[in-house]
Amino acid sequence: MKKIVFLTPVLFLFSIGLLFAAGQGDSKSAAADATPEVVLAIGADPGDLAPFVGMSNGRITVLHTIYEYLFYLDKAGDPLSPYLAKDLEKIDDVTYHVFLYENIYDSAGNHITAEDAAWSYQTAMDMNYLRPVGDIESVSVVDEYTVEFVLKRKPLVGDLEKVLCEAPIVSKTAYEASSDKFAKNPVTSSPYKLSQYIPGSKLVFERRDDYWQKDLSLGPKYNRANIEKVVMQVITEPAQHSIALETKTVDISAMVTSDDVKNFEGRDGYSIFTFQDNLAVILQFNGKDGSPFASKELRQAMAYAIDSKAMCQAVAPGASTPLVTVGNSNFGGYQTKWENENYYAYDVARAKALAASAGVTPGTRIRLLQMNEPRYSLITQIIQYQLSEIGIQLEINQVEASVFNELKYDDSAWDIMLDTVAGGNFIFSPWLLAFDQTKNKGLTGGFVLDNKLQSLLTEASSTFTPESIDAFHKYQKDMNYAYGLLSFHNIVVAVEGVDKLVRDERNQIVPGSCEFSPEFK
Amino acid sequence: MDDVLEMGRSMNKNETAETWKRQSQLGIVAKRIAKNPTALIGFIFLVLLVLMAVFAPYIAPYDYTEQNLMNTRSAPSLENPFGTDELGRDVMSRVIYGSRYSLSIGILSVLLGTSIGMFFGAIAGYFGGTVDNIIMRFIDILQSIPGTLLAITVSVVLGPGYFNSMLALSIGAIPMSVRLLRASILGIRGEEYLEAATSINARTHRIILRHIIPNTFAPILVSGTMMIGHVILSAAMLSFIGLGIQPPMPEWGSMIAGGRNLIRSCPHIVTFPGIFIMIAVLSINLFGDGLRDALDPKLKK
Amino acid sequence: MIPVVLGVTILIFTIMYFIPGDPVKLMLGPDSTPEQIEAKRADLGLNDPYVVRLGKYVGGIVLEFDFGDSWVYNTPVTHELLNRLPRTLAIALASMIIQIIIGIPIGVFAAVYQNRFWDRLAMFIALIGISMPEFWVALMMVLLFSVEWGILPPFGIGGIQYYILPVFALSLAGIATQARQTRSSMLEIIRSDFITTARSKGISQMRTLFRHALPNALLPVITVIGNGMGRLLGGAVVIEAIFSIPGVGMYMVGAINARDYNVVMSSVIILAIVFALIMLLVDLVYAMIDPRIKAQFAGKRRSKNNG
Repeated sequence: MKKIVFLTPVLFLFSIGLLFAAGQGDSKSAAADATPEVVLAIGADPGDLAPFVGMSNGRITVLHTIYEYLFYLDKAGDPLSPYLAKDLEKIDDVTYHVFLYENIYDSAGNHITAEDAAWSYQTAMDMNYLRPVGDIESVSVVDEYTVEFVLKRKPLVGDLEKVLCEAPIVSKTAYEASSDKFAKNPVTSSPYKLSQYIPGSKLVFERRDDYWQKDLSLGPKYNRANIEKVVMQVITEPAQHSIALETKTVDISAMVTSDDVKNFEGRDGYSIFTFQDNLAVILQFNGKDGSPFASKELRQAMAYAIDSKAMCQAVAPGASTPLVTVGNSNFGGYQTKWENENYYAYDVARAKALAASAGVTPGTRIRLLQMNEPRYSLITQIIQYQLSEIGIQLEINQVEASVFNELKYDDSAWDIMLDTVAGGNFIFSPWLLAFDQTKNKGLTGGFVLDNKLQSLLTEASSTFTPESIDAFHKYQKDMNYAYGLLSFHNIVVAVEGVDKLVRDERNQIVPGSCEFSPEFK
Repeated sequence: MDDVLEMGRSMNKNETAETWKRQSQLGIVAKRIAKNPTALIGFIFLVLLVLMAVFAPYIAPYDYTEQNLMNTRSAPSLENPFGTDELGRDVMSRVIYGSRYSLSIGILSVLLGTSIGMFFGAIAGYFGGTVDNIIMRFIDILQSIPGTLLAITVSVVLGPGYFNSMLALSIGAIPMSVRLLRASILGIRGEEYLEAATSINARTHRIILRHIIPNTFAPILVSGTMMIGHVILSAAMLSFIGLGIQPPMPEWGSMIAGGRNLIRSCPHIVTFPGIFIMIAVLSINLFGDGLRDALDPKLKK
Repeated sequence: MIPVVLGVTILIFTIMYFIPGDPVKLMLGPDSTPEQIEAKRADLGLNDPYVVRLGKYVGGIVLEFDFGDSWVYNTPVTHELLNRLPRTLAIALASMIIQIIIGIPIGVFAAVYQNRFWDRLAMFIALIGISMPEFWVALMMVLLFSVEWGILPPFGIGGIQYYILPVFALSLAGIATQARQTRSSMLEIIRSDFITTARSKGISQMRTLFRHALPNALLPVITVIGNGMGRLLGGAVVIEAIFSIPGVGMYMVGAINARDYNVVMSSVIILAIVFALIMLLVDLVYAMIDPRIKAQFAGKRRSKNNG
């Protein structure tokens, strides 16, 4: 019986030992060394760092620190700018030649040539995760530094850009030598080398002295290595992002909730950067024949009944903007004059009148489909309450993302859907997602067949003139097949000494390329 | 919980033959609880919470869905004693209505799980042999999955929502009641009054219903009471992972989970539901402990 | 032990088999063509009938200890689980130790003062710990110890100081369980005949308590420790997510959000296996120190030797 008395301290020592062991393995970098480092808090673990796999919330944040691409876009609507490739030549409508720099070497010393570039694209096409590469018919090597791309069809505005900015280029030799296909330990040509990756916890990058591009002005703004060491710390709990900044455990976070941002406003030692996100939150109405929303009046009534200004105040105060079209000002081709038009400003009386003329009786039940996400829940709860004021009872159906993506295409599953549209760089990209009738059984996302809408959309997306864009906007706005609610801002909080943030095309911070003041660590 | 099981066995051994009168038993238990100040406090708070749930519409100053987008995130004041949340809803009203959801999910899950468990426990105990073997092996498996993880797994499959969470959480209550009822039946199989019942041609289900279940009532009541508190907390945990009860239902756990991003800027949104969960679970536990002490035959002397 | 693990695997696999929605559609995004989806489904083996899938999965685990690949990332799950398991185990075990160190003295104390003010107060305090949602407590502790006082890191991994908050937040609930069990088994022992005998022999109160009563009272506590490990392993899920500790639990929560169901399934199974192992260990320890069982074993051995 005394054994139990011994057992307790033995167990105790054992678990302390385990704790130390767990601590030891993880704390290689815990010993404070003098190398200057920047710590970026990210909201999700990338999980798989391999070059040609699908996108995830964690992965999107690390891509431009790890990989390099053929070209980059400075901002939406700009022409392609050189990155690993120095130039592009159009041979005919579907054939393009890409010329690489001659002196590209990855961190293991492998020379990257046309063969690697062609192989990278071919592998991406075979693996079939990166969607834009599906537009490619074939890719081949012309000479040591020239790659030929043949597309399946003549590219629309922005298509070629997407294709050539999509697949990372890595050395075939290095990739094949890797035991896990770069999942944990990629070897790339970027100015930082991944030195440690603890899945679920952090990534540590160290600056390379032998970065191939000597004239940094030729490349994108995010190929700079302005600091010796970059750490990306995974923090999944949003409240911990603000705490991490307060305790100076991290230097930069884009995940601080809009409420917590207020704590940092005007506070010594912190700076705040605000950017608009390119995700637009919209309401898609089910306009199928026989559905209540086949009625234009009712669609308009909905829009009048919803106070999107107050919604912004409640959901993300100071960190969201009401929309004036299906898409936001971040997209190329957005017209600022739309902001002065009346986009169904909150008007309960009018909403009631329109609803009545659409034959809606008090107590009518409407089903709303929504993806299960906290901010969207707030939005739909507001809509539910505001619609109750015009006598409509809203039933909210919150589903998991996977279920949502199935029900989205089921015309009997919902009357209204809270959807988000982004994808692409131009104002017509969200329009194509919401209204294109060439996919999806020949109907819009709201199951509507409207030839005029389609011809205006085709006109807008192929010519991309201000007039054609405005024409579509006007017609859609009047018909109100879908109603733009709001878009969120990306707010980044950084500690003092981070002078300038550098972000990639996907609005992700590239920490090593940010500019730091000399006092920063 | 093993002691409860133990108690179930010993109770049957010691007490069943005495055939005590139910009223007097209730009286003894009530007296014992009244003598135990912490159990009494637990009981009083529990009654208050239940009253709050039943009369929520009369107590709550506002409707729990009523929004005021012009007055969001305000700190506690005279108009809104617990402040307002991010949609300008009165936190106090939501906490009051929330007692309905939190308490009911706790009670209903345990009732459901216990009923299922009692059903299978009765079958296992009464028929014995292979049936018993199969059921008990299944219960062994069920019990070797940590309860929280099992609830999460089932919730992942069923999806979020009040009813689904209740189902997922009820599974945790099954094994205990299976074991209790089975043990009781095995313990009293040879008892005289059962023989008497069989001899007058009482049917099997009738014997189980009329004689065995009332005799296992006490230990199941104790373990069930304690489990209610655990289930309320588990429901909160499910909300934390994004699987539990969905807004606008003002279940306390989902209020905390939904408001936890505001913990730095508007702590009142998280604090009040947290305090109420604590009060509720604490009272249930205090009462449960008192109930166990009061029902424990070993402490009778 | 093996049948239980097998049963757990089959049960979890069967539950997860009924997942609604098409994970493949989610993985490939809304623009994917039916052909792409079909190809991916075939690739993941999702088109096979239930029995075949179950056989492959269980076979992989039992024969090769291979949990397959993550559906979202193409990384092998087993490797990831084994890398993360020590952290989860460390947190759970350390919490268990804390529970024992704090819970058992409270229980003894309460038993000694049975039904008096100190008993009530001690149990009341212990019960507060079991009455709060873990994630709420964890956040409150972070606010207090990291933000207000700045003495402990709010999250992450590194030296041992990173584990202090998670371990305490996790152990809070079990303290009451240990105290409760210790108290009731102490009460039972105190009333038993041999303690009365000891007392009547004039052995001091303290000596009776600690030399005779406590060791006997601790026997049932050991089984509670086993069950408590189950709760701790489950609770670690939430604690790891809050403190960004890359253990099995955080892997699982991330996978739930990413619909990476193979990871969810495998995480539950490996924790269940660990739990089963711990229960086995508890049984062994119990057998080792319980005089009754020990006597039984000894008796068997003797009879074997004779025969």
